[in-house]
Amino acid sequence: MAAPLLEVTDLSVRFDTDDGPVHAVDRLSFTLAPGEVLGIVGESGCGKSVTCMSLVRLLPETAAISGRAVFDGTDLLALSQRRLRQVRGRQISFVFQEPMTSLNPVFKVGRQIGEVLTKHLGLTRGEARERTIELLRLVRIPAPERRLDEYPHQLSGGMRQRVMIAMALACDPKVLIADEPTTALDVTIQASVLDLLRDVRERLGTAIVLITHNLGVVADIADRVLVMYAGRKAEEAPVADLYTAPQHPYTIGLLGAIPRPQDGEDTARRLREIPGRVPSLRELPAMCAFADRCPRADELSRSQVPELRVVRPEHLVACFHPGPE
Amino acid sequence: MTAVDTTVLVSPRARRRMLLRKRFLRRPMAVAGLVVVVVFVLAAVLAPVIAPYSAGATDFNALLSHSSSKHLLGTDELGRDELSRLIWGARASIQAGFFATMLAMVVAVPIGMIAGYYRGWVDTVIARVTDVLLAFPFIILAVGLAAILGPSLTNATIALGVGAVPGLIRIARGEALALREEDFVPAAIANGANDLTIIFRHILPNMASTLIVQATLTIPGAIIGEAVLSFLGLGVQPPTPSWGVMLQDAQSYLSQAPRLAVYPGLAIVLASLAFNVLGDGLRDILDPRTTR
Amino acid sequence: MGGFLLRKVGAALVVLLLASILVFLGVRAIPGDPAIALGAENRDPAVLAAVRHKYDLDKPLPVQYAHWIWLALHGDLGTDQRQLSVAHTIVTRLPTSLELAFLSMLLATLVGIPAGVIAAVRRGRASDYAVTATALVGLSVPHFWLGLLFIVWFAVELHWLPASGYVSLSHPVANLEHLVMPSVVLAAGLAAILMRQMRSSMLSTLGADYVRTARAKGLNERTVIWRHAVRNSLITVTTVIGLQLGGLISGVVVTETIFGIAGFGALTVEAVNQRDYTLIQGVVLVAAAGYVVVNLAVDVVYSLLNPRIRVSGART
Repeated sequence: MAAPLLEVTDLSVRFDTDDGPVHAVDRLSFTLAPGEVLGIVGESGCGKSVTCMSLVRLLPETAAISGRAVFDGTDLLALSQRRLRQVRGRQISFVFQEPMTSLNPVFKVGRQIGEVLTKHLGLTRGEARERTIELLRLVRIPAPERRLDEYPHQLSGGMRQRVMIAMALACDPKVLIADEPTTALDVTIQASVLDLLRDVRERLGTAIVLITHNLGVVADIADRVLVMYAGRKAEEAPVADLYTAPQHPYTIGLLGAIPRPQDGEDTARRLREIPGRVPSLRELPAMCAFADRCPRADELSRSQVPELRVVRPEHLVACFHPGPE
Repeated sequence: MTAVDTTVLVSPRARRRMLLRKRFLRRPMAVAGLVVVVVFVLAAVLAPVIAPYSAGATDFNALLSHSSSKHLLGTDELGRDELSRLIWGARASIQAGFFATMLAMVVAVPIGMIAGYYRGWVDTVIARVTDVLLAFPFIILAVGLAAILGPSLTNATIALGVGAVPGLIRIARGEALALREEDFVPAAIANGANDLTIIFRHILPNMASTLIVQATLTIPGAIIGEAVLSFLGLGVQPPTPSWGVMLQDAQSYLSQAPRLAVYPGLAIVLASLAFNVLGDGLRDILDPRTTR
Repeated sequence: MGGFLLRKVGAALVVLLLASILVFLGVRAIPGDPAIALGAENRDPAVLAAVRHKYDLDKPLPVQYAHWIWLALHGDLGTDQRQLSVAHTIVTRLPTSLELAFLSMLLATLVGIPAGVIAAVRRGRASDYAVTATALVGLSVPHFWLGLLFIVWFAVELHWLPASGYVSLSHPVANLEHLVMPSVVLAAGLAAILMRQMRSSMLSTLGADYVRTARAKGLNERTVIWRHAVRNSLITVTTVIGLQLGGLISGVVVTETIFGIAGFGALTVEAVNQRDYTLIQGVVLVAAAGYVVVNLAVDVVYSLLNPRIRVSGART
């Protein structure tokens, strides 16, 4: 196995708000191999975005980050702001959820992409313009020479997201972190953007971290999936294994909640919900975070935090009662 | 063992008021502002009672004198007690401030609400009219009014009120525009309410807090405006005291008695600061997004 | 952009028309014989007859208005009490005020906008409180009082600057000396407003998604703030500047009076004090017209700054 590109150990993120601390991420560890696509899945508020943003410290000042995040030999969490800025956009880049608001409305699209090129690669204006056209072509935007000089509001949602991707790929980063890249787009556009990401991984060998709450999207392009719940890792497995043999009751619940058209069979099948709500992140419960909603919960789950255990090849679960339904 | 929740016994409106009061008390600046405002208003209202001398009482033995036991802040060029004139002057200024603002609110709020609620051509017409009003800064308006009707405190107050109308129309319009999209509007319509009822019984109460804040923040402008107009001879006419008139008088004696320019100015500054701070504080506590 | 500006120009013309009607009616509303008012209080019957003829005072109002506005558009605003052409008086006194207004705007912008940015960036810290407090005081201090204080300190006590008067631009140093205090005084209130607006606008811009993107791209903080955020905040602030122009005109009137500057503003006050109705009418008309025109200019600047207006919307 090749050495991991990114190795995160015991990452914890705590926000110190006026009303007390909020533990968004609790001792999370994971790795990312070069060229791999890792999907991070979970519902809103489970800490998946916070995790990734904390790696390059894109969080507000009230965030207290601890742990280690070794990227290409250096611990990102110990880097100075100056060195960190050399990583951002260059080695690790982001694509965000809302392309309309994530692009600056007053600057032309070409200029926003060119910015990264001049800053990190020292290209001249002319060189940057050439490269930008190449990038726009790479993300399959038609007539790139004209698009360059347009403003974000002149482009459609799908095109804006492609521009974001082009901007993220400008310096050929090793890792592309896509935070809910398709959530704000129409379903038909979603498919083409995912196609594009897959293409990017194949042609450029970029590792991708795909954050989403949509299990369908993950099944499409991820190699491995990490399921998060209430700031902790619940389950981690290669994608096929996760879908065919989910172990954690939460994952099983999530998969059961996907609406699926059944031909012939019981078309009156109800969507299965997971009862209850996500626990408050104000305390770190000394028990399984999912216990209150879990059909398998018992004394043990309510008194201890389950550690990650290997239950199948390359398949980890943090549960006292893992196993199929 | 849980404590008994006594808040259940209190009505939601009373609870909200308690919450607002708590938030207000956590802001020393706003409290200070309120105190100063009350002091000025009391001074204005109770002037006949608390002023040591009447506004016109002259003492030719003590012209331009410094502070003494008889005259706490000294006297002016006609021997009139400075402190008393300041207190009497508060009347004109606070009066102008309040009445101009009230006039502006009474005119601007309904117009703004109608513009925001109905939109369309009504809105366009009102927008043009507002633009025309804006084209006449309050001084020019006061100049015009003074030309037609002669200068006086009343005319100055009217000019100030009219000057504040465009800004308030814009705010009332913005609020109405947003509030008409709220769910209670179709609900009221479904219950058979007509437009007038919706506007005045549903939309208006919901913008009350914004309006209160805006009114509080309009008053200092009116106070300063009155001072400006009186200073220029377009408002309160001497010998009636107003802080602006006192500044006009002081101008001729700047080298001999600069303090005569300082006191009325300080009064104006304090009064407007107080209203500004109070208004800012009110805005903070009434904004649902502030957490403290 | 063409459509936007066309609409603004159209609106401006309507406003000008309505404003001129207001002024016209205002003068007619003065109690007494309008001929006396318009003829600068001259009661000589021959003169009165001439005035009546010139302004068509016997004809119905709309005809009078048409005639009057026709004359005005040709630069004839009548003669004032001293038998001088109103238009000429205004034209000679206007440049002084324009210079004062321009200097004040410049000063206010150069101080207010950066201060607002800094206050927003260092929110909650000492520099923020300092800036916000200064702005609050600036808003609450009437500029004419500030002017008087300045005169006391700098002219009377310290003898650094002249207390009053104006020297034309042909003597730049003296010109500046005379205009320093008035422009600082006038700029103070405007700077305070700009400071607060800029700060509030920046606070919301700094929380925007595109700022997060800029940081994620690895740009240094200074670029993020001054290129990405400020450029956006300037758009909202431009509208505020437009709204403050009325206040600027008022400020010019007062400041010129205190500092003894013979400009357009002082002319306004003189006109009222002398009950010179022809002059008042001319002054008010010019002031309103000037305001509308300058506002239009601000709209043009706004459309240049805001690409959403400048370039039309989405193509799919």
